[in-house]
Amino acid sequence: MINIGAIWMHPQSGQAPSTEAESQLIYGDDLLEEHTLISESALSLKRDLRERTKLAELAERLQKPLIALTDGPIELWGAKGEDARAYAEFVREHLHVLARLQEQEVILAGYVEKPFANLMIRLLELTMAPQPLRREDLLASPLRGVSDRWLFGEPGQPLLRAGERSAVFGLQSASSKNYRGVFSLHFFYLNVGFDQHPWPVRVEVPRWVAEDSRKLDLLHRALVEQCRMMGSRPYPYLLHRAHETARVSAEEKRQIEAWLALELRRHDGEIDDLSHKQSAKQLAGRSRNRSER
Amino acid sequence: MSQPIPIGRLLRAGTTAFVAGCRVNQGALPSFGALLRIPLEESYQVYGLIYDIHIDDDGLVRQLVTAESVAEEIVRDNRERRIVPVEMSVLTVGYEQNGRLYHLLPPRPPLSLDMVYLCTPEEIVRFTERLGYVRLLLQASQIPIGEVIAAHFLQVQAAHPDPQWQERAIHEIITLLRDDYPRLMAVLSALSEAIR
Repeated sequence: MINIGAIWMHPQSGQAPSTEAESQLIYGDDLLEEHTLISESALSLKRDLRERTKLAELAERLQKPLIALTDGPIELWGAKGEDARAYAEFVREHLHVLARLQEQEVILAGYVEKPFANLMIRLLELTMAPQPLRREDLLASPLRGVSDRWLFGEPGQPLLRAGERSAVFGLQSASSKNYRGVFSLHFFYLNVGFDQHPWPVRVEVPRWVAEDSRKLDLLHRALVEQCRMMGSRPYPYLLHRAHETARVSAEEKRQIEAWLALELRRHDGEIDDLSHKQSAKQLAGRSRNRSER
Repeated sequence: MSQPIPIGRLLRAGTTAFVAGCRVNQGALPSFGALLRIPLEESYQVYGLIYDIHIDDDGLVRQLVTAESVAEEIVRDNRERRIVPVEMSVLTVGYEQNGRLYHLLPPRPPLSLDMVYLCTPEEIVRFTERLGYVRLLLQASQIPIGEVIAAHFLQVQAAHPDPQWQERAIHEIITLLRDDYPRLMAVLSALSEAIR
């Protein structure tokens, strides 16, 4: 099952945010790709594409200016090696979604909370290498062990003070080449933490946002405000609530499985029973039935 | 006749007490000491008195309180959208069957998700006309009985047309607690704050 959650708010309106959740049950032939069971990463791609499509749908009915956040990079990740053709199809659909967002002038951003790709460090390594660049210079990592997060958020003397953002850079990677022209991906670092406890995050934006300083400033301000809302552990409040809206709890998962089993039995389907060992493990322990607190 | 006011639904129940839940934003938030009823069937309903109102926190709320300020939108989101109910612990004080009120424990407790209603002034007057339920109140241990009775008195006074009701109720309490002087004094002390 793919469950996605969306939440939107109008800052300074005094109104509670609105939420929407969507569930899609994938079954039968839809679970197969090339006669084999669909992979976990392909399912993740389906979910990510659905999330981004939901943003485009919401953008078409909400007032502007509008900032749209996704958790993680903007580009779609996963399954590239497993099924290149299917991945290419996902990317094509994603570009179509991006076109809808660009048409609406949506300020789209991907929030990468703990970036592990050291893009800035790599850039520094290349600038340190002697010119002209040789193949071995490209493979060398003289700054190995230094991370982008350290560079911008060194405890005690962060390059970015609390609330500050870096310059905007173009994103260079093998997969980002799928996103060209107005969709080409850019990023900046933003310290959403505090002077004593910096927390640099990477924010990805498409070119139509990167080249518009007004949009960048609005996004910068909104992200700082969103993170401040979460107090001592800064993270965009709305992204947290979107996760909460989409989350399927263990109890809900059990209910769904029970409904599916019931429906199958109604149609004379066969259900595999739990092993007796597992069944015994799930017996409730002795507890008092609480009727009052 | 006042309209019935739904305030929430039943979470869990026993014969002597039950717990109901409601969302924080519901207009008619019940108050401590309020008389409630839960209709189970057409001719059967259970009555109870709120003795505790409880609001649980969660991880997000604990984190939000560390922020320098909390925007109105976030307060409303947490009160209106997130599933954190207000819990009301309720002491069972009687039931009604086939039109007759009993100040006894009910034959069957209410069931999960049964709707809970706040009693209207007319229903309060009807239920408190006789004072048999005071015995059930005083039997309850581990609840702030003096405070519950004082809060209940304030609400009954506002609804009751009988000016002698308060005096009758105090006599009933004195009679029932005549062999338990410390408890009697605790209840009368709380009542002295409610009665002017």
